[in-house]
Amino acid sequence: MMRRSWLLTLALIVSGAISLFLTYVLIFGSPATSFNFLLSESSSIRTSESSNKNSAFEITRMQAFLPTQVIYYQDSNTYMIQNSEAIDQAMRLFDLTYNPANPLKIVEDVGYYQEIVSEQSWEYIFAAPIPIQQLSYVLSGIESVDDDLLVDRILLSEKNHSLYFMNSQDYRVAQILLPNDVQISQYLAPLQAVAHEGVEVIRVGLKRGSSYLPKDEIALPTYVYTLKKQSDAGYIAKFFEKQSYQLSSTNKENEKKYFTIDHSLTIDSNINLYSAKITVLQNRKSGNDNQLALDSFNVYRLFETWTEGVRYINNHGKPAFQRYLKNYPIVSSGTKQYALQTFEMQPRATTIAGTTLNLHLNIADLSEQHRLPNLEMVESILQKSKHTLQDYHRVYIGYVWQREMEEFQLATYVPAWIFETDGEVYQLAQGQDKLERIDE
Amino acid sequence: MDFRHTKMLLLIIFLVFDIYLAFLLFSRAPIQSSNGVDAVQTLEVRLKNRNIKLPDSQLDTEMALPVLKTNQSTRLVEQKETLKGQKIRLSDKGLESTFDEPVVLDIEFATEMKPLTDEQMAKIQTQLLGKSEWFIAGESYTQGIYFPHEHQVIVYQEAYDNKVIMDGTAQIRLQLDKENRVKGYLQTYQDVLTTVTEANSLKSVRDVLSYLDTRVDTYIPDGSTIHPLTLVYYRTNNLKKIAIYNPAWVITYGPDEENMKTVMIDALDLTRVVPSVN
Repeated sequence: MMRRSWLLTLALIVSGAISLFLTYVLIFGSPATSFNFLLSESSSIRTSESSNKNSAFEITRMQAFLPTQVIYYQDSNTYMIQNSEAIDQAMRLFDLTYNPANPLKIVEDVGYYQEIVSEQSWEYIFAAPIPIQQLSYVLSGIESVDDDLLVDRILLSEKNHSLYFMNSQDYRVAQILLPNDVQISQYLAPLQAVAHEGVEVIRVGLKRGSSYLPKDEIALPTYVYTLKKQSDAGYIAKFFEKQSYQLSSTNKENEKKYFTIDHSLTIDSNINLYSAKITVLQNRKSGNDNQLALDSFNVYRLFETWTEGVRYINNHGKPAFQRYLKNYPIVSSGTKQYALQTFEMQPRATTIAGTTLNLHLNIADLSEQHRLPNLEMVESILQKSKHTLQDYHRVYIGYVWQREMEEFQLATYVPAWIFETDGEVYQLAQGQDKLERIDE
Repeated sequence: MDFRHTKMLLLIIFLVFDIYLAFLLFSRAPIQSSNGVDAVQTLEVRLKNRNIKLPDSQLDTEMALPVLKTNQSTRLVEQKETLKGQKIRLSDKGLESTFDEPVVLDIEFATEMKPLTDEQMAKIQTQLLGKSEWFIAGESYTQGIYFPHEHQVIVYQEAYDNKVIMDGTAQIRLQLDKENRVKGYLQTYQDVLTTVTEANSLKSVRDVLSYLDTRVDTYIPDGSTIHPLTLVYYRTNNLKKIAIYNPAWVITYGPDEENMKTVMIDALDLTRVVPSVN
C-alpha cells in the first residue's frame, strides 16, 4: 500500500514537471528552436551552411599588414611589382618559425643597412613601417617577441641565405637565417609569374627613408564606380553583438547615435560617415606600436567591408587603414575618411572614424586613360616651386577619390602622384604643372 | 474523498493537460523528415496551413540576370516635334500627349486586369505604337497590361531577355475612354540597356516568399492567393549621365481580387523596392 502511494506521488510530480516544461516552451520558445535538441545531424549542418552563406566579408589581419610592392633587379635595372594577389601568395610561401632559443638580434647601423640593400635582392616594401610582431604570417612565433622593430621592407638575400627585416628610416635590421634545405627560388614562383608586369623604378631618398618610384611616364585608367551604402543594421550587429543599446538623435539632422554604457556608434546618413568609440579596452601602454596595431585592427575589422584591399599605416602614433584600388592606395580629395579609416587611441579608449560607402559597380565605359608625368618631370615641377622629393614623408602613385559624388551614388577615382608631409596631402595629376593640396 | 483520491484526480488532470500541450507544440513544430528536406517543406507547409495558395511556378528554380546600364536619353525632347495630331507637354513625369481625335482600337480587352496577349500586343503595335507620327520609339515597348478600373493600358520597354522595366521609367500609359478609344498617353523612355556585370544568381521564389512573410508590411494574409511571380527590371541609380537597373521580382497576392497587393523585391539583395516613378 505504501509502495503504491509513493509511485502515485512520483507520477504526480513528473506529470506536473512535464506540464510546466511544455507550458514554458509554448510561451517563450519558438517550436523550431525548442526542438533543436531533438533534431537530426543533417539539420545542424544545414544551419551552419546557411549562416556561412549569409556571413559578410571580413578582412583578415594578414591582408592589412601585407607588403604593397616587390622590387627586383634585372640587367642592372630595378623593377617593381604591385600585383597584390601575387604578393599575398608569395608571402604565404615563407612559412618559417621563430626559434626563441636564437633570439632576434637587431643591428642599428647605416653602413650595415646600406651594405645589405646594395646586394640587389628581392625586396618586399610595406606601405608604412609595421611592428615586427605583425609579420607572424612570415615567421610564426614572432608575435610574442618584445622587440620594437618597425619593419618597412623585407629583403630576401640569396647570398646570405637570409631574410632581413629592415627599417629604412632608422636603419635597423634583423637577420633571419633561412633553413639550409630551402632554395630561395621556391619563394619566388608567384612573383616571377607576374614579373612581366614590372615597372622600372628608381630608388629616391625622402624626408625619412626612401621609396621606389616609376622612372617613366605611366598610363593608368580612371575608374568610375556606383556606390553602395552599408546599412546601420550591419554595423550595429557587429559592434554591439548581443548587447541591447539605446538610440538617440544628435544636434545634426540625419545623424543617429546608438550607445551602451561603454560603446557608442554615431552614423551620419547625410554625408555617410560613422564614428565609434569603445571605452573598455585594457589600459594600453603608451608608445607600444604593436598594441596600437592590434587594438586598432580589432575594432577596424568590425567596420570595414572594402574588398579591394587595405593597408595599415601609422601616422605619428595615430593608426589608420588606407583603402586600395587596383593595387594603388586611395586618398580623398574630400573628407579623408572616405579613403582612410582613422583612429584616436587613448589609454582606455579607442575611437574609429570612417565611411559607410562602399564600391558597387564598375562603370567601365566611363573610364578614361590618364598619363602621369615621369619622375624627371615630377622633380622638375617640384623644383619650380623650390621643393624636392626630400621634403615629403611619402611619395607614391595613387588614386584620388574625387570630392564630387552625385549624391554619394557615383565615385570617380583619378590616378595621380601623391605627396604627403606633416599631415598634408598633395596631388600632381595629368596635365597639372604644380602640386595641389587635396586634404583641405 | 481521501488524500489518495485527490492525488489520483490531480494526476489524471495533469496527464490530460500534458497531452494537450504536447499536441499544441507538435502541431506548431516544422515537419521533420528523415531525408533532410524539412527546411524545404517548411514554407509550403506553413503557408498551406494558413490556407495560402502558392503560385504554380517552381519555388527553387535557379535564375541569373545581369545588372544593366543605360545612358541618359534626350530622345523624347529631341524628337517631340516629329509627333502629329496631338497636343504635347514635357514635364518631370515624361511626355504627356492628348490626341486631337481619340484613336479607335480594334482590340478586345478582358474585363479584369491581365497581361496583354501576344495577339493584343501585335495589334497595339500595328494600330498605334508603330505609327511614328504618334509615338517616339513606340516599337521598343513590347509587353503590356490592361487595367480595366483605370481605363488604361500600360506598355513596357524590354530591358533584357524578355524582362521589361516595370518601375515607370520606360513605359507608355495609354489612357482610354469608355469606348476603349485612346485619348492620350504619358510616355517615359530609356535608351538601349547594356550589361554592367555578368549574370548574377538571383534570389529564388522561395527566398522571396519567406522574406515577404517575415515582414510586417508585406505579410501574406491568411487565405491569400499568390499569383505567379514575374522578373522585371527597376532603376536603382539615376545619375546625370547614366542610370543603373537591377532585376526584381514582382509579386501580387491577396485574399481576394479586391484586396490584391503588388510588391517589388530586389532579386539580388532581397530588399523591398519602392519605385520612385510609377
